[in-house]
Amino acid sequence: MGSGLVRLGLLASALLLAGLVATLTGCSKVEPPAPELLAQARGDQCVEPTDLMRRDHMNILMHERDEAKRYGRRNPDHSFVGCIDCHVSPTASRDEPATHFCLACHEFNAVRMDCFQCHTDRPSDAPPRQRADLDRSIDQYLSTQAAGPTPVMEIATP
Amino acid sequence: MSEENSPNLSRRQFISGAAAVVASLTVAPGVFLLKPAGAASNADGKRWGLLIDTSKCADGCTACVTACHEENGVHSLGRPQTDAQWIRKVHLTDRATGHQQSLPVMCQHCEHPPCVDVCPTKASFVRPDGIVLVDKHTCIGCRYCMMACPYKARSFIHEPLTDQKPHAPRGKGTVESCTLCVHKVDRGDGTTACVEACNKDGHRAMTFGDLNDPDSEIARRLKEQGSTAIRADLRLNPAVRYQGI
Repeated sequence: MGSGLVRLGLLASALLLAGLVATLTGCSKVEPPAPELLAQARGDQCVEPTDLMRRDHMNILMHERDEAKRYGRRNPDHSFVGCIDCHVSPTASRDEPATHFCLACHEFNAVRMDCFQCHTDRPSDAPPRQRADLDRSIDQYLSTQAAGPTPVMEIATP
Repeated sequence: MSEENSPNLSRRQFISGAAAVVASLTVAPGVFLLKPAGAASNADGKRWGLLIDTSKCADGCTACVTACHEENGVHSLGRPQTDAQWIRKVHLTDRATGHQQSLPVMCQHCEHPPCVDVCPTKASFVRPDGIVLVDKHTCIGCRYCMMACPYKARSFIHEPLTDQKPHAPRGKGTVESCTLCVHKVDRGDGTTACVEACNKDGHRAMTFGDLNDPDSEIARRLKEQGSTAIRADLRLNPAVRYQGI
């Protein structure tokens, strides 16, 4: 009776292991961010030590955002705009995460943040994008929402 | 049209006033039984506001609207019914006399804002210096505040946006309104985009300043010349005041 249970346990473990191996081999290899695509940071040094920023940047941003937003106590060293201005290339885009300092790493680590749905994804001195591109992207979005072919579809194709 | 500079005591004010009386009971020099209500919450005692002289506001001029939307990255998406509007020009006609007026209306930055009262997530809030804002991190886009606002000052973002200004994050699914150029205020500019544009065009119809500083131009003019609050009957004590309506 006892050996039967042991055999059953072994069989279950073997099945689990096989399943795990099958799952892992099904995954494609994840490439780390390519540093040559990212702009080098433009300041002399970061506002905090690099290891601290790697570990705790999200906590710093999260905690100080309420202070800044609700009470107007803005810390220029820990401002979200400051991070973007220093680290992100003027030609980067949230649509191409490999070129974007924040998104390249978030993508690699499978962290999906929605900061850039509201905050600008480019430094303050970046030239503005063409308005026509913007309008087209919105119309493209609307066309995906609309059921069936509509005049919006025609506008969406350049 | 009633003067709203010193409204009658509300229940809220009566209670906080009563607390202030208790505070005056000193246990020992410098030791109080209670602190006056509001003393700790009002940072530096400032309250930012606007004074708009409608007699100087030119009919057909939209410099303030253009400047505001340029400053904060608000632009039309070609769909006027859902385009965001932080400030708009309103035309008034006196039916009896035919007298016409034009004036800008934006968030009135009330002391007791209905938008803050109704917000289910506390995303609408009043800063200690009196500026009423939406915290878009917690806004769920329910739009109760838009229904509650008697000034129709808020807009909802219906579509995904790109190319926002760094100092004015805006995004789909949240409500927004005039921020009294909070980024400029925090920077110490001491003015707003609309006021700058109005002055630049030579109309000088708008004045920005600290309502609580008796030496500021806005406080002096309010004291000497008086002003009108739109919908003063609601007793919201707005920080945006008008002359000539």
